[in-house]
Amino acid sequence: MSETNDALLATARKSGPRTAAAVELLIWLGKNIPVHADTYDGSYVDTSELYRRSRAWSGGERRVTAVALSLLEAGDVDLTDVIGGTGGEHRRRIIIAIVKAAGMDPAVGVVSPVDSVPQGDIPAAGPMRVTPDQVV
Amino acid sequence: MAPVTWRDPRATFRRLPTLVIWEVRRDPDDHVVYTNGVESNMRKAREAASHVLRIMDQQPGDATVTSLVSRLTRKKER
Repeated sequence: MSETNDALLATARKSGPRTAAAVELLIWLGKNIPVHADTYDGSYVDTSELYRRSRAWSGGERRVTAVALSLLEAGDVDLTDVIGGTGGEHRRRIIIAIVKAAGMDPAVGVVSPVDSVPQGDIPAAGPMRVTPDQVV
Repeated sequence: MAPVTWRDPRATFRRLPTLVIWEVRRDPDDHVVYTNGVESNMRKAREAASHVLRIMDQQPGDATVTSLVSRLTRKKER
């Protein structure tokens, strides 16, 4: 990891799990993360510049970035829009970031997009209606 | 940082997972349905998971990143 990313992550971790999850997600994405150059108390993501740059990236990368920006409180995307358009690893990383942002440890549980559940011996059924008592 | 591992969900269900996220979409009649879920999957998840969070779109704003993080945080604090 670069010195810039190290500094970003160190500052993010001081800010809390939500910011740390966002920065970890961006570092995983592997893009050059724009940083505010005029801060004296740490290293921060330049969210405006990040959004501008992301418009040239792939759909999956843009969606991951949109989630990271939401975690950085620079917007608030709806996951029903984001999740449906992302592939396996992007999707998994997004969900892990959400879990981490809430202060949970995804390593002790399961983070499972539903389409990764093996269907093999599970009998098919029609769509299931969601009733109000099922809403979490 | 603890390593994040990807496990067979069916195996993990038996080990008390803490979180399952199900994605949903709206059907043509505007009812909310599970994207790929089948009833037996959901039953297994509900039986095994101590926390089940589904990404719902019944109300505008229900599944935003901020909303989901807040709801998960509240669950964790209970």
